[in-house]
Amino acid sequence: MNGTLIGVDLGGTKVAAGKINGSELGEVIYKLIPTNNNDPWDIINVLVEVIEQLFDKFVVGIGIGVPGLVDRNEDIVYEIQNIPSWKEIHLKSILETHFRVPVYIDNDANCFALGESRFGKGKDENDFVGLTLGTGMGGGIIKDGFLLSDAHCGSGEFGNIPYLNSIYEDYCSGKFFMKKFNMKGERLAEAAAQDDVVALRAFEEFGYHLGNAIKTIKLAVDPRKVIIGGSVAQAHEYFKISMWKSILNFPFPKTIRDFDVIFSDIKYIAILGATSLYLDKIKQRSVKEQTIKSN
Amino acid sequence: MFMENAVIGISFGGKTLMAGKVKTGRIEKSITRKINNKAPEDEILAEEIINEVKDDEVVGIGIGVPGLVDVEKGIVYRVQNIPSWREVHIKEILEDQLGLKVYVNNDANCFAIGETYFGETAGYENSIGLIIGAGVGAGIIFKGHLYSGTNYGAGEFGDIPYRDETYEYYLNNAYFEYKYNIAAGTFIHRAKMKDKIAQAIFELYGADLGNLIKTILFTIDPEIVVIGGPLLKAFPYFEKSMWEKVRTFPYKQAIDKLKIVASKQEDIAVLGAAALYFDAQNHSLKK
Repeated sequence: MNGTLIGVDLGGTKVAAGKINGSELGEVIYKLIPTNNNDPWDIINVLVEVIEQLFDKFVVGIGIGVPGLVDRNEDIVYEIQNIPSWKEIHLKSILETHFRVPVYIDNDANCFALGESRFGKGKDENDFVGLTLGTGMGGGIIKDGFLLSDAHCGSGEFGNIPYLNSIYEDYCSGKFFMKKFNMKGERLAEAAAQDDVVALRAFEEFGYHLGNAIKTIKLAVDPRKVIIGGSVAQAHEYFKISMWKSILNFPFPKTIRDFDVIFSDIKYIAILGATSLYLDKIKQRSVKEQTIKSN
Repeated sequence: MFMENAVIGISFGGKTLMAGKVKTGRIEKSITRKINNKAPEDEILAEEIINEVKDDEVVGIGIGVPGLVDVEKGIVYRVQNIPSWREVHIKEILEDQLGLKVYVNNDANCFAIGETYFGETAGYENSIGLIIGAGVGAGIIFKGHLYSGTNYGAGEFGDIPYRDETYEYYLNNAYFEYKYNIAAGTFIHRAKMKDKIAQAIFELYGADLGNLIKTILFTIDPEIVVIGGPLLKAFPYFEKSMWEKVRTFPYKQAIDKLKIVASKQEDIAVLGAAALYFDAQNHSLKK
């Protein structure tokens, strides 16, 4: 593809952005989001500033991942975690008016999945679920090589599914280690590397719950693979066995045979995924045109 | 598209089999038979049942079964109440016999696509058809077409772990008998008579169902959910508590737009089976 793309990852505390040409990601820049932002323009302006730093005449499109809901038909950003001032922001039209290139917005976990499908372990896979396990738990569904076209970019939010006395996120992300062991997952992983029994048991338990989450995903979406990223995924050697034990207890065992769970740790996947929004749209359009031609 | 064609829809209930000729969204003629579930494999769905509703206008056949189906090959692996059906190549058998295109799917998928073609979810791109009764299952519609997953296993929300069991455990017919020793139908009757205990039991049911719908929202994010199946009769008694639970969904805008409706088509099982044909035709046309 010709031209440069800008990918933006809007987090709860900071904005990260990078420019990509082909598959080459340039320098990544960060900017903190002002706390106590009562005016929605406070954050829109930060976004504009960050993009302006990277923008030049070679840029043909911008993709943005946001931690919340986006109306697919009208491209309105609805609800964003940690940014209460944003309610119904017409972000696409605001940025397109400013930069005069197409802007695509989606949920950040969807961007992760799309990033894996373009740049990561999902390159050769048309049907998979991308799952990020970090301070929270999110996911995105890739079907026939495209992001699932759901109602509000809200599909794949597996972390919020009711589980035991709360939700999956409390058992399958860093929150599990904080809540139950009052320790960060990274610290526990270090301890596990030293054969610490408590740490090893913590990961074993974590794997059991994660296995249940994956079973839930398989029952709901039935993907060929689940690709897991995020900081917690890096400790997978300590929870992989108990995770599989839990998955194998599946009501339709036949379908487990060609199912797999793989781990990924691509750097800056959030930004790469955001640029993939643009590529996804281009691909969709060309498929549509081909269909029209062939009919 | 193709809706003017006549298609035969066949639905396997627990104990009966219904075949109907469907044209322009209506069942023109139909026949219901008791299933002799002790009969050998090939006697259960005999050609003669189809021939009673078939005429020259009919271009295809759709079949819905409450069980495990290989949709691509048209093989039925397991059907509730019919032990002799272990691996029936129903598509191959009937296509050979009748010379018509045959499509097979599970009942929940038929329900979902039936509602999209002939019922409550018509005009919606993304919807869920949820069946509550003997089992708990759903069909998923994306962009107006059935979404089936890689092994045709998507939408099996009933088997998702819930509390110490699965959703199906708490939401299927048999739970009432198992837990209270009283049939679900009796509770529905009592709730209608304003019996406080029966109403309270359906309130609890609504809360569990609400959690299931939240799970569906988090996984699939549809615009509308249509509910069907035998326990739909209790809808007025669980609707309120179901919504209370669904409203705890963290994204308010999504909930404000979400619709949860009751199925209104009595013959949706047959219509839905017929809709399999239309969905396949329209889908392959798009591809």
